[in-house]
Amino acid sequence: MLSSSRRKALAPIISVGLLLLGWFIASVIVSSDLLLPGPLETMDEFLRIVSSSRGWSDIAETCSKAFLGLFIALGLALSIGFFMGIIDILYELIKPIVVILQSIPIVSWLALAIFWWGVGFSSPVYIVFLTLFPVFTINVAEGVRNVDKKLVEMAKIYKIPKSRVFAKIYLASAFPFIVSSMRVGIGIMWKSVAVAEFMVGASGIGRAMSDAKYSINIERVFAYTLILVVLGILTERLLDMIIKRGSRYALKN
Amino acid sequence: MRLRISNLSRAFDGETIVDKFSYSLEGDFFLTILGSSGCGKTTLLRMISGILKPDTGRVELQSKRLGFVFQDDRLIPWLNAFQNISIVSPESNPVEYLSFVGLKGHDSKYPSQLSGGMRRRLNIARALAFNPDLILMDEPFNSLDVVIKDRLIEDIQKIWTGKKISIIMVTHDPAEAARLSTDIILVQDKFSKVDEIKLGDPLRRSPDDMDLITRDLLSRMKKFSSFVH
Ligand SMILES: Nc1ncnc2c1ncn2[C@@H]1O[C@H](COP(=O)(O)OP(=O)(O)OP(=O)(O)O)[C@@H](O)[C@H]1O
Ligand SMILES: [Mg+2]
Repeated sequence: MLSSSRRKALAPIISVGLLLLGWFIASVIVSSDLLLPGPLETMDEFLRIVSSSRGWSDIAETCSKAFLGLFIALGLALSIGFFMGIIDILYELIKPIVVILQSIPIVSWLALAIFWWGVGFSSPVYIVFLTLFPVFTINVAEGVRNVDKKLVEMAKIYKIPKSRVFAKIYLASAFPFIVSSMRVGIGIMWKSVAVAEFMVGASGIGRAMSDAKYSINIERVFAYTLILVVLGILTERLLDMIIKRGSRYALKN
Repeated sequence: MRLRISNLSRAFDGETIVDKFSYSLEGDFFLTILGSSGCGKTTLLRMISGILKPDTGRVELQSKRLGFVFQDDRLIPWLNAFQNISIVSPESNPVEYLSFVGLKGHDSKYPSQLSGGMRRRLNIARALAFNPDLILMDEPFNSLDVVIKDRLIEDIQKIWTGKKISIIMVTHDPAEAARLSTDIILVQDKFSKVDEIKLGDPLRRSPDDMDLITRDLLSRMKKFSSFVH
């Protein structure tokens, strides 16, 4: 008999194991490194990339673009979303614009990026920003609107200074909304930074994948995909840690 | 403390709740408002506190620091008991007020980890820690057990006498009113008719007097048709 916590720890190992096994069997059946490299070949290539300085500089490039876009989006969303949340007319005015921004597909930005920002560092940053900003802004605004008006009234009666009301009441109310949009946002972030580099990047993981594609190095494509997956999981974990530390804000207590 | 309410009216969604209410009071008063459920007592307190704007009329008040014991507590769910007090009065010592209301050792508990009666006491402690010159209390002793309620009433009376503050309290209990008040108003017909009762210093009131007052209040309350069904 397994305890439920051990079962919980074991479950993902089993499912990932099955996935690897399926992948391995499929690659043996296909038996072509060109169409479907197996897990061992991919791992080989993965290790080659992470033991080269070129590999690390690509990873670092991609990370800096992704996080730069993320932080600019978050910073702007916090300020604009906050004012949208407390001023109804701003909410009515800005929300349609944000919804339109959110509906513009990433390919449109990609098509324009070359002309607007050129090939290089800034295009992927803009694209990460543009994909994340609407998601964050809407969530911050909804979170702030969700604040308990009775608590705000209490704060007014006790003359709690505005900055504390912002941090301890509004921001804390919006915290669960911000967290859930960050979860969604981090997934979007890696996908959009990679695709932007692929199309209009001069360096980074996406660009390296594009080069690998042209040189028909499919193992490389797989290995870089693996790197993106690892980055996604790591940042997800990092976010969890940040949330735990910020849980004095969280509503569940 | 001087309180002057003149011609105060307020409607919600076209329905008048407080109708042309006028009333004045001076000195270190302990005013108790008695009235049936839904007659507009909380609405009146909110207008006195300045947080709710009246449709007509005005409230003149000297108060510089106003504490409010909310009927629905209004504690911040993600702050613990200590923080719920320190956020309204950073210069006070929350532990002192927590032990005053019998919540010693509960400083790090969150509102959801406290019982209804404990939350109510935290709500009272927060108002006291604000060091107010006027406290508005909206059914402050509801949901408290008899022993704690009795002790708190005694302690609040001590604060009222010791610190020279004024209190306006809403309650449904004529015995509480008889024990604590210098002045009582009985509300009927949306505040357009009120019984005003002047009692003077509650400290000079004997238990027999209190019984008499309680019985008198009860019979007045019964006379108001809105109090019986
Ligand atoms: N913000 C509001 N919007 C609409 N109606 C309201 C609002 N606040 C109060 N009312 C209405 O005003 C009336 C009086 O409410 P109030 O809370 O002042 O009563 P109360 O005397 O405090 O009642 P109780 O003894 O049950 O606490 C009620 O009919 C209520 O529905
Ligand atoms: Mg009420």
